[in-house]
Parts: sequence; structure tokens; C-alpha cells
Amino acid sequence: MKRAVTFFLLFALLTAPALLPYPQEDEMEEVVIKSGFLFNICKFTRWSRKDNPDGPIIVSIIGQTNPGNDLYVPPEKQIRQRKVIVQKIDSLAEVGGSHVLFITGSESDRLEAILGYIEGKDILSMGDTKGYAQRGVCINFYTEKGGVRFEINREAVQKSSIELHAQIYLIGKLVESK
Amino acid sequence: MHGLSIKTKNIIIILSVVLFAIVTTIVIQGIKDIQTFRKHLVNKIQSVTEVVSANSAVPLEFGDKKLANQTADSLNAIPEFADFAIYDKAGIPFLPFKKDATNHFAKTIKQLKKETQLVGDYLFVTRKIIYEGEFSGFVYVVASTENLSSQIRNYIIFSGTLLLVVFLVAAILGAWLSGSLTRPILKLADTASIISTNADYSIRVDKLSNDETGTLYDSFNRMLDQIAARNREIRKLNEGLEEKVQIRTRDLQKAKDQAERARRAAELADRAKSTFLANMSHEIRTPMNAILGYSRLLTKLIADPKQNEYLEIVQASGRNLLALINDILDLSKIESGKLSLVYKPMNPHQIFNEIKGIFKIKTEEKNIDFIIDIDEDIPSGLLMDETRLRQILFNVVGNAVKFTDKGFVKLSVSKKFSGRDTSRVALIFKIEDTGIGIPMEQIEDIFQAFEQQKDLGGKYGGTGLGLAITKRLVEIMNGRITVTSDVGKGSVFSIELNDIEISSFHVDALPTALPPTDRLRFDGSTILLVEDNLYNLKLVQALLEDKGIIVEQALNGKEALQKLKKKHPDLILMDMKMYGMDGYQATRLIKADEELKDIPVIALTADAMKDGRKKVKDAGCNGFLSKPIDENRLYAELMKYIPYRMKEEDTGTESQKKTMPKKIELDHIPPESLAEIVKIFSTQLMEEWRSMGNSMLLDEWVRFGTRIKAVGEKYNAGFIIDYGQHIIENVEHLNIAVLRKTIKNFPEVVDTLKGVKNESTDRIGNQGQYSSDSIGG
Repeated sequence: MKRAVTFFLLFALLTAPALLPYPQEDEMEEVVIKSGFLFNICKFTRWSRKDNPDGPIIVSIIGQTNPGNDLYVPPEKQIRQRKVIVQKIDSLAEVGGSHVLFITGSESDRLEAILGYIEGKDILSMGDTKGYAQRGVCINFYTEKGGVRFEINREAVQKSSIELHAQIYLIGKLVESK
Repeated sequence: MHGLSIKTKNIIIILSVVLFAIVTTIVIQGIKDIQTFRKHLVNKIQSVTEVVSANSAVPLEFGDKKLANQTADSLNAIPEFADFAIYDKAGIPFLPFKKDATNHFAKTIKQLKKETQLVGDYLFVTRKIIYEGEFSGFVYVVASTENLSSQIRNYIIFSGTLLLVVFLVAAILGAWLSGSLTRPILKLADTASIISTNADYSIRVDKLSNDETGTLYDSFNRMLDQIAARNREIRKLNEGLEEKVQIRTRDLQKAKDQAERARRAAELADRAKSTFLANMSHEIRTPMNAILGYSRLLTKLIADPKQNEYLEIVQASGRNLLALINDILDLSKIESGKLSLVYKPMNPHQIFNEIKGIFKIKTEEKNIDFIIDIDEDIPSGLLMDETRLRQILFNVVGNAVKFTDKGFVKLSVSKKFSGRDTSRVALIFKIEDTGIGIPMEQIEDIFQAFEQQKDLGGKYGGTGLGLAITKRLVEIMNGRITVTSDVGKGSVFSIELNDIEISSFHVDALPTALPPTDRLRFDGSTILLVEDNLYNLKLVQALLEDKGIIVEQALNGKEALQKLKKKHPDLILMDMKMYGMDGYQATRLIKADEELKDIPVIALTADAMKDGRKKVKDAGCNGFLSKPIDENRLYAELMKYIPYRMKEEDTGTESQKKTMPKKIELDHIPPESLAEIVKIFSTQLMEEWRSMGNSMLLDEWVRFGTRIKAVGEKYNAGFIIDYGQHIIENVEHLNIAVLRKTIKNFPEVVDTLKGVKNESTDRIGNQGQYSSDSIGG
């Protein structure tokens, strides 16, 4: 595995950021694609916590969403034999035990506070609001030329003590905190 | 390989070894290299595929083909790399093969059975794409093995070239090496050939080098030195040898000449001795006959007892002298090997009877007992020389009687068979006496000629030749004589005569004792004689014809039956054991035939046992005669069945009968046999008679007489036998005057025979008798 990582780094130096293969067609499609990205990113993410290896991977969503337009992972989809549960939370107090915290655009005002709250708690932060990545969210989806893409804040990832597969960095667009 | 030169063989061996070594090396190394190449390629492709598969999970999950292509970039650095593809876990191509225009790779990967597999010219390596235990698809990498093939090709070309070069070098070196080896050998062979062709052992071979061939040359030269030296020696020896051989040959020739001269002298002396003995015997016998004859005549004329006594002394001395001469003659005949035995059927009992008669009187005179103990089962027919057997027994018994003054003399005779052969017998005679005995040291001497037991002082007389002659006669008759003795107590002489053939015919011991059969006649009767043995047939026929019987012959049962169809005889004499149809069967058939059954059949068989008689009776035979045939029994048996008469007695006086020869009764002899007899007499014997002329060589006359007798015996002609016997007897008794007359009569005898032949049915009259007025003189 180490060798694989080494080779990956070599490739990373040589290659440019990839274009997403699935272009956005309408709003509904966009949510599906985001859900897919979410699932795949979780797949190549390692959390450093020592939780129950048979327990589910919990994705919590904080903030308001458009009705019928929620992120969704089908129940049969599993990661390393672990179910993926997508849940909405109303307060940060409910975030404990979550692996991913998706922060919607409604929470832009108190983003820093949220990030401050989860800092060091081994939770991958995600969002789909412009500027979020620069403000410290690890993964932030955006649309470009009709396709869904994502940005990665490497610094934020490193701070959260989460390990992303190196090739994820080749797929996403790297941004830095301002 | 057998006919090749050493040089060629060497080259072949060297090249074979080199070729083998190189080819083996190339093949092994080639296989090893190819395996290494392939392993290397496989390892390389496998490693790269591993990397690609590890880096394909993310692009595959994210559907990022660009990233996927990037991860495979490292493959392009490998020269053998041909193509690659990524399939998702459902088997749907995510990144299909790029250079797979014919869809060949896509098809092939569906049939792969192993992760690494060589298919055609391509190596296919397959790896699963797994991240954190999650399987998400396959990576296929295809590499071309063309590089490997070209490497193999290059290797073969290189090896071939190397092989060729090494082969050439080896051939050149081999030829050179073999040449250096065989050249000296060929040179040696040439030299040896020249030496053997020219026989010149002075030639030597020049050494070419100091190696092994040099040593060989030295040895060869040394050998030549030795041969030359030996040749010189042999030549020297030969020269000496020739001289020696010449000297020896000369000596040998001289010795041979001497021996030859000595032999001739000895032969001459021997012949002279024989002639002298014969002549002397004759010369002495002739006057002796006169002395004895006239002294016997004188005895009747002289009445004076004194004169008579002198005369008796004269007669006794004359007889002694005659006996001595006879003995000398016998001994000289034996020693010169001229004595031949005459074997014919005889009856030993006849001799025993004679001995009994003669020695009975002598022993009675000496007042001693004479005991004779003869085994009853001694055959009455033996093939022996009767005269010589008589001579032997008379000599030994005579000696015993002579040297015994009290007690007894005993003659015992027994027989034994040698082994299983019952056709031959050995006779053992034992002559025991209680006489003076013989000292141990003289036992050997008594069989020497002119040796008599010493210190007897001439008391017993005799020639001293008797036992010498006896011993030699016994030996000639295949026997041996031994003696044991105690001085003063007596002696035992044992004589064993071996291998005596038993005669098939009984010989009558006392033919004159049965006058009835002498005059018996069966004139005119016919008998069918069935017998397959010609000799037996002739003899029985003669016995029958002698009695006036007409004999028909048949050689077996079948022939007998054929003859019976034509003519019925008065009686049938049937041999039972015959080839073809035997007597039993023939008799059964005869007795079953209404017309023949009344003809009496008398069986002739050698099977005298009780069973044999029963068998014969069962077959239907009326009578039975056992072989050997006893003529008296035969006639007695015939008298039962066929008519006979007794012939009237001859009218001649007793004296006439004694001196007159028998009448010439030849009517039983068939005319063709008579013709043969006449032929022999008028040619061969007549010629012999003429050639002898007036010669008085007695041996020749004995031979002449014996031959005549033999002719008579052959044809069963009593008259001829008597004539031959008469000659022999007269020679033996030296009745020279009678002998002369008898021999002079020979042409008359021949004429008589001719007459008989011409009138074969008539009885021959007085003209056939030969004068015998001097016989017994």
C-alpha cells in the first residue's frame, strides 16, 4: 500500500486536475451527483478515531435544504461493510459520532463557529457554498461548465486529522485558506 | 566403424565429443536463458500491473478516465508493453484496449484461466482492483513476447555460428593429433611388411619421437635383434641336425638291413624246421609202420616166450616212438599257427563214454577207482572241434591215470552260462587224482614242451609234450587250464572252455546203438515240411529223405496252405514260430478245413515248457517234437502216423563191413546239388589234386581231405565225407601206402560222382567203391 502511495505521489506531480465525467443536466441530477461524490470520497477517506468497525458511517447535515433535494445514499450501498446513514441535525450538540458534517449555505454566518466546534473531532467537513473551502471547509462542491466539481482545502483536511486518498487531491481542485 | 582407420576413428571420436559437449551446453544454457528472459518479462509486467491496479480504484470509482490513463503511463516505459484495459466489477469495460482493432485482446481476456498467461505471442497479466478489501474491477495488461522470440532467434544464430567454428577447429586439431599418432604406427606397419616380404631382419625403424611410439619402436627393434639372433642359432642347429639325421638314417638303415636279414634267416630256419619235422616224421613213420606191422605179424609166428617178450618190447617202443612223432607234429603245427580248429556239431557225451570205456580197463589194471561225474544237463549238441577236445581230455585223464598208483582218478564235467546268453555255454572239466602230485615250483614247468616232472627217473615214460600240447589247444579253444597239487596227495587239473555255441541239432551219442532206425524205411510217403529257417529245413529234409520220404517244402503257414490245396501229404511237420503266418494259425486253419483236418500235424518247437505243449495241443496239432530234433525221436514219432518197413540186413561179412567203405548212397541228394558237387570235384579239387602230384607234403593232403569232407558236409553226402575223412585219417596214422592208393583213386571218385549224377535215381553199384584193401595196415 505504501508503494502504491509513493507511485501515486509520482503521478500527482505529473498530472493536472481531472475534469468530472458527469456533466450537470438539471437540479435533481446535481443532488444525485453530489451524493455520489460524497459516497466515493467517504470510501477513500480514513478516520483516525477508533470506533466500532461494524457501526455505520454517519453523515450529518446541518442547515436548511431545499425540500426534496436532500443528499441521499441508498441503504444497500456500503463502505467496507459499513452502512452509510445520512441524517439531518438541528444543533451542533448532535454532531458527536458523525464522520461527515455537511454544512449548507444557510449556516454561512456561523460557519467558523461550527468549524471551530468540530475541529480536532475527526469529522470531515463538506459544503456546496461558494467560498466555503477558502473559509476552512475540507471539501466543497461547486459547478463549472455545467458539471459538479469539488474543491479541497488541504490545510483543513490535515487539521482535522483525517486522511484522504492521495488521488482525491488529483481529482479535486486544491484551494487554500484565506 | 570396423573398417575405418585409426585416424578417422580418432577424428570421429573427437568431433563426437566436442559436438556433444557444445550442443548439450547450448541447449541447457539456451533453455535456461529463455526461462530467465521469460521470468524477467513476467516479473516486470506483473510489477507494473500491480501498480496500475493499485492506482485504478479511485479513477474507476470516480469514473475519471483521464486519471486512469495517467496511472497507466508508467507502462509505456516498458518496451514489451502492448496494451491495457480496465473493466469494472460487472465486467463492463471502463477503459477498453486501445490498440485492439480486431477485438482480439477483449476476446482473449474472457478465456484467461490464470492471472499470468501466455497466449500466442502475448503475455496477459490480470489484476483485481481492490481498495481496502473492496473489489471494484480488473486491470488487464498485455505484453508482446516478440522481443523474447527474437532473443531466442539471435541466441540460435549465435550458437550455430559458435558450434560451426568450434567444430572446424576440433576437426583440424583432431586430424593433426590423429596424424601424429597414426603416422608412426603406419611407418612401423610398413617396415614390418617390408621385413616379412624380404625376410630381411637387418632392417630397423628410425625413431621419430621419445613418446610412447618411440618406446614401441625400441621394443620392435629389440625384437628384431632377438629374431635375427635366433635365426642364426637355428641355422647353426639345422646344419648340425642335417648331419645327425644323415648319420642316424645310415645307422637305422644298417640296423633295418640286419633285422631284415635276421628275419629272413629266421623264416628260412622256421620253414626248414617245419619241412624237416614233416619229412622226418614221415621218414620215421614209414619204417615204423613196417616195424610195427611186421612185428605184429611175427607175434603170430613166434611161439618162444622169450622171443615174444622181446618182440613186445620192440612193439611198445615203436608205439612210443610213433606217439612222440605225432606229438611233435602237433606241437609244430600249433606253434607255427597252422593248426585250425574244425567246428561242427558234436555230442560231448560220446567222448565221455569213450573215456569211460578206455580208462576203465586201464584203471582196473592199476587197481584204482575211476569215477566219472557228468552234469546231466550238458547239451548233447555243441559246436566244437571234437578231435581236439578228445585229445585234450585223453591227455589229461591219461596223465592222471599214469601218475596214480592208488586211490582214484575222477573226471567231473559241469557247465555254466556266461550272462544271459543261453545260446552259448562254458564247460568246466575237473580231473582229480590221488597220484604223486607236483611240487609247487614245477607247476609252471609241466606245461613246457619236453619238460617232465623232475626226479621221476623215467619211471613213467612219455614224451613230455602232452601237457604242452594240451595247454596250447585249450588256449586256442578260448579256454584256460589250471592246476593245483600236493606232493604225495594228488593233483587237480581244471579246464574251462568258454563261449561254446550250442548246436541247434541234437547229435546222437551212440548212433550204432539204435539198429532199428538204421533199417527203417518210409518209402513212398509224402511229408509237407513247413519251416522258415533254411538250415533247419535242409537238415530235417535230409533226415526224412534218408528214410525214403518224399519231402514237400513250405517256408511259412501261408505257403503251406497253398501247397495243401494242390496236394495232400501223408503228414505235416510244422514249425510253430515263423514269420508271416505262424504254425499255430496255419494248424488252426488246416484243422478247420473239412478236406485237410485228417492230415496229422506234428509241431516242431523250441518251446519245450508245459505251457508250450498246451498251446500246441490247443492249436490242433497231433504230435509234438522239441528242437533240437533228435532223429530217433523224429522217426519214432513218424512211425505212429505213416506206414514203414524194416529193410533186410546187408549180406556182407563182419570183416568186410569193417573195412569196406560205405556204399555210395546219394539218391537223397537233389540232382542240382549233385551237379554242383560234380562241378567242384571235376574243377577245383581236380586241379588241386593235379598240382600236388606225387608230393608227400602231409599237410597239403590233410588240407585236401578236409576240403573234400567239407563239400560232403555241405550237401550231406556221407560217401564224400567218408572219403575225405579216410584221407585225413591215413595221414594222421601215416598209412602212407594206403594214402597213396586212396589219393590215386581220386579221378575214379570223380567219375563215379558223374555217373551218379547221370543216373541219379539208380543206386550206384560196385564201381563207386574205392579199393581199401590196405586200410588199417
